[in-house]
Amino acid sequence: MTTKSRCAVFSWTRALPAALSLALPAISLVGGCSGADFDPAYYLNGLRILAVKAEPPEAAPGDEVTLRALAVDFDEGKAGKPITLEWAWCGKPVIYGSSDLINVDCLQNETADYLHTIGSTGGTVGADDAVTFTMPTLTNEQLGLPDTTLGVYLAVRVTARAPGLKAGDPERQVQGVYRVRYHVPQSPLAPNKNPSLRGVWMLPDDLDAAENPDGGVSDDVSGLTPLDEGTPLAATKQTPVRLRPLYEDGSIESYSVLDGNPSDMKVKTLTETLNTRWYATFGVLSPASNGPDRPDTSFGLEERAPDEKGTLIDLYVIGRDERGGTDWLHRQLVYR
Amino acid sequence: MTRFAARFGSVLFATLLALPARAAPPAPKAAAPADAPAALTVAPKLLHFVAAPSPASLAERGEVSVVLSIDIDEQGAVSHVEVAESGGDDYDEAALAAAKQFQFSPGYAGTTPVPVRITYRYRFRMQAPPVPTPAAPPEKSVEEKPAEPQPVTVPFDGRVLRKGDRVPLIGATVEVVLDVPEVDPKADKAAKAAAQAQLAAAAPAFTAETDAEGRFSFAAVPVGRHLVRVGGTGLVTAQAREALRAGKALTATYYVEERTKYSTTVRAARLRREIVERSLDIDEIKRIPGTQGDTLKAVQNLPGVARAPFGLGQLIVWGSNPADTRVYVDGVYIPTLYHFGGLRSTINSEVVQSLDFTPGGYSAEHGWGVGGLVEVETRKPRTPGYHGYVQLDAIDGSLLIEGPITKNLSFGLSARRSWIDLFLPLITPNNFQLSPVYYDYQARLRWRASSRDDVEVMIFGSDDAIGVKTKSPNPQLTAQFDSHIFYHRLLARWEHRFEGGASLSITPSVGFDVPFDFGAQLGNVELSAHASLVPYSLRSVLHLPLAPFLRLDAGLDFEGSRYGLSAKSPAGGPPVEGEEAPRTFGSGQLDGTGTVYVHQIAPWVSLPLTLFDNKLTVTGGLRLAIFSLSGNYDFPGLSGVGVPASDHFNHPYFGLEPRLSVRYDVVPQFTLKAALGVYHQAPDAGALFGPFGNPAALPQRSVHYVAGFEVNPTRTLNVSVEGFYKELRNLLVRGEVSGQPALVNDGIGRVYGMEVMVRQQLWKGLWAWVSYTLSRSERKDHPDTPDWRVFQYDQTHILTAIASYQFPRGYQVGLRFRYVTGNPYTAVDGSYIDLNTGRYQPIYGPIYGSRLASFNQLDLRFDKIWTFRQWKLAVYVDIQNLYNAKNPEAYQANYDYSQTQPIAGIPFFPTLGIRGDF
Repeated sequence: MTTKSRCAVFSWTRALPAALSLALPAISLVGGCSGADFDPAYYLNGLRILAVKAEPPEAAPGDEVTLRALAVDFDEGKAGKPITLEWAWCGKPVIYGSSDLINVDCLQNETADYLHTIGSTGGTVGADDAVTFTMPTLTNEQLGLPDTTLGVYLAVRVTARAPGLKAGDPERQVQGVYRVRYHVPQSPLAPNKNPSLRGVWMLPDDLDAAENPDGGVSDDVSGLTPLDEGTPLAATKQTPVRLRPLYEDGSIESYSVLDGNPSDMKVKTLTETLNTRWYATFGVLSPASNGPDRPDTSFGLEERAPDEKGTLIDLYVIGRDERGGTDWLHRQLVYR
Repeated sequence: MTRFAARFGSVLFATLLALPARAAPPAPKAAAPADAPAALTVAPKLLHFVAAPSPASLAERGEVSVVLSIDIDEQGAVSHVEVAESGGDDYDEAALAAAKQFQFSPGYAGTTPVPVRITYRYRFRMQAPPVPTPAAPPEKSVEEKPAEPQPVTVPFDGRVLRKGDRVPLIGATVEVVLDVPEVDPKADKAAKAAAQAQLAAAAPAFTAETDAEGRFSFAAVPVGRHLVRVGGTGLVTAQAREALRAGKALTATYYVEERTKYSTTVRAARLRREIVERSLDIDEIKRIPGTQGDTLKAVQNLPGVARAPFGLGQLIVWGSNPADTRVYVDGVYIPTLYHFGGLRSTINSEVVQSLDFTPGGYSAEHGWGVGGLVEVETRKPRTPGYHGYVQLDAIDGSLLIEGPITKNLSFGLSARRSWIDLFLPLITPNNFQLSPVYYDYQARLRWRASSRDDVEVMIFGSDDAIGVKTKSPNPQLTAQFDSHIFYHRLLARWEHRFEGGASLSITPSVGFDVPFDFGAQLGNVELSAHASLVPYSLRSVLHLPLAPFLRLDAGLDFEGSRYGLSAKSPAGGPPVEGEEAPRTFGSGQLDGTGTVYVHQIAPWVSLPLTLFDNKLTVTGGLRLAIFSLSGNYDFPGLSGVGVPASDHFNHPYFGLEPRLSVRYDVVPQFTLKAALGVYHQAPDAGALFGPFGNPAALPQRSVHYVAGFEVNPTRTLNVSVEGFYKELRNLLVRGEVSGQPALVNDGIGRVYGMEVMVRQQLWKGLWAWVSYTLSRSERKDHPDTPDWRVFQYDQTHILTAIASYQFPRGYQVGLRFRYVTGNPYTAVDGSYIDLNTGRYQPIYGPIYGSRLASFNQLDLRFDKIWTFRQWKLAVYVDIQNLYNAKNPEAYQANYDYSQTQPIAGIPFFPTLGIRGDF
């Protein structure tokens, strides 16, 4: 089982033939670079923004939108310093042709006329305060090109700040960008909704791996042990546990995209694909990100185990659709 | 009774005179300067001998010689013959007619083929009479007087072959010393040495030279125990004792070792025409450390060639993109010179006769690229007899077999297959394993249609497949990548040598390529792209002497291709030079196909003019490059980009390409030289598709300026220094404004620098070269950009030093040291998390604003060759990175780009190989 982190390789990919240059980012995306010894992305140790949830996740101009962030700050498994979150939306278009999600100027400037402050929130671990703003009317240039789901977005910058770990250390800061899907007023299509995580279950050891040979997942939770936020289950160093997230009915929606030549205005219907990401303050998760067909993950403590028995292990499960819909759950295990 | 069954000619190079070198026309009447022989380093060799009919009077005269003066041009063709010493009218006439049909390998002054005048003795000799059957002794008669004792003789003939590969040695001297005493084995050392010296000095009673097939013959040698000595220029004298017995003809084969192996390379018959051209000696460069004996990888050690990351083998020449350098095999363009990872060339080194590399400023004969030029000439299959080799090492295995089919038809077959995929998983430390498999093949037929015509048909190709699979036992982690790239070529070449030195070659070809074919499944994301290419070409080249000081070179250079693409991917395109991330142009999920036809044809003419006793050569040339770029594509699903999702396009382009080069021999050891030229290069076919490029893209344009000098302090030491400047225009870069196509011809570039090469050819067992390049390659992605940025592979200093020494008994040790400035890269200044996906996105700093640490590496190669009579066995150890330098080739970053670690290049990497040649 690998503990190497995903890593990015840069500066030489175009040295390769075209096909191979595509392979290398692919390799790095799915999990490994030779010799790297980085902490994996799922390991929570420091200030992180894990997710932002908008309600509604798709809004027309003039609609009120509530934003919540899941930001954490752990130091060796212990909750860290208070976190302050600052919110602003950016009206500066991305550079033409760039695959950037936001114009980099929106991230590198504290104030500018294209930066519109939404507000600030604060808390400790898992700051859950909300800010609300009204979806502005955006120009086509500001909206840019639609993505593969035929969506255009308003880019919202969220900055998390926390004091230094030790007295005298500089303030720590991380940035994230959440794009609120912009519902074009004339659009006849139904706006997107957030998926809803139903819970996380621990699978018995003897569950046949061929339970879903075609990769589909059963909603039947009989025989499975739920992870309850109030009563953490035990995790040991010897035996990894298999965890399965399930979503509420209706989380997977359908939506329409153009089919073929755009001028023909022919549409086709697609079904959302839900992606689940896992984070933990200890241990090893494999995989740490998975799709709907094989959503289970394995959690083990063969590495990065707590020093003391009885230590609580925080697990975060983030569910997303491909149109900005988000939900999350927090669960705990106890080290035995 | 005596009968004359046949006759044979023998060769005597009594004098070798190099006629004025460098592009001089084959001028039979030009007097050879007295000091010219000093410049000749490789003498011409008779490749094709034509027997003259024997005049009837030969029966009476027994043996007649005609001494001829033969002028051989730079291609090895006979341009003029005259009788220097008559053997009689009949004999003169027959010898002249035969000699005009001879074909030689060219003579060389250094690396330059030069016209040469030789003196040739054509011998008409009565062939051996049949061996008399010993008759029963006559009955003695009282009346009969005893006859006078006559020496009993027998015929003695045979062949002289090169030890190891049985190549016939032409012009070897075979001497017979009669009745030499045996050396007493019990004698002391001094006595033995004295006896040997006496033998060596003993005058031969019979002498013969071998003919074009390595044969010699003595009609009548007295019976007895004689010493046979075989030697000649460049040969290690061998001697053997032979016992000739009455009534028994002797036929023997002698295997003789050549003394200076590297000087025996036979070069293709071609004309030197470039100002900065590096011609490599194939035998020499096979033993360059770090190349695993791969001839074509030696190009990477030449000045002007930047080092490719990870040793991938791309040719980055004078600051140009790898795709800008054109590689030709027998005049036919090939898209891939190296297999995956630069492990091997796609052309087997053993079929390569010569390799010429020109980094820029080349003549009108070539075009279609704004970078350098690599010309690989394959050799004709070796005959007589069957030859070949088998080679095995840790990376791959290869074999070759070649030989005659009929007298004038020969064949060659070679193939190679990798097996690195079998053991790579064992040493791959990470969770992903590469599974590269490659093979290549070459099959050749060569027909000598007449003494003036050669026809060659060759089919060759290369195939690389690579798979990336996870070793993780986790069945939920699904990731796979497969790529398959190949090319195949079929070419036919007809060469005709006209009387008077003119020559014409015509080479049509057709092929089939897959530049890329991959499918990737990354979680839920599916990407696939399949491209195929059908290239076809026709190249004709005429060399026509117009006057002793002027030659006309002209030809037609046509290349065409049909490029087909089918792709499924999100709208956008892969990064181009200067970009770090894929770009997004338009939106939607592309799922479509397209076809592009690129046709380019260029009539060209070049006129080398030689003046002032051949000291000055001025070559003016002109090439009219005509492009036709057409095609269609249909990528439904694309929107929001400045070109339609479906379109037909067709646009021509004309480019005039003047070329000029000048060489001036100030003194024989010092030459000044300069060249300039205009070059055009068609856009990559894939760049003409609307979703990724621009259907109206124009060819790139470049102007090369070169000036330098050459110094030859000794016959084997050469120093060349060149300065260069290169302008680049119409480079394809990203459109910046909404509504523009994805690629526009806005980019410009400039490259400037100097290079030095000091080359010691084989001298007392040592050969070495040092190459150094100082250069700067810069780009502006749009003309109004205020500052130049460096090119992706800009390398300020490139130093390569190679030395190899031949020890006795077949041992050879070589070292290669390289120091190169690190490649530029675009550093990451920060990052942010994309909260819609959970992935981090980098924020890049200035384009190529940082550099990797410099590269240094020492490689070692050790060869041991055992030469047996009929075959050779070689074992070699090639060690890359002897002191295990940790050369960073790239950086890898953690998930949020806050930490980086260098990725080191090739570690200490020994390769053991074994090879047998027969």
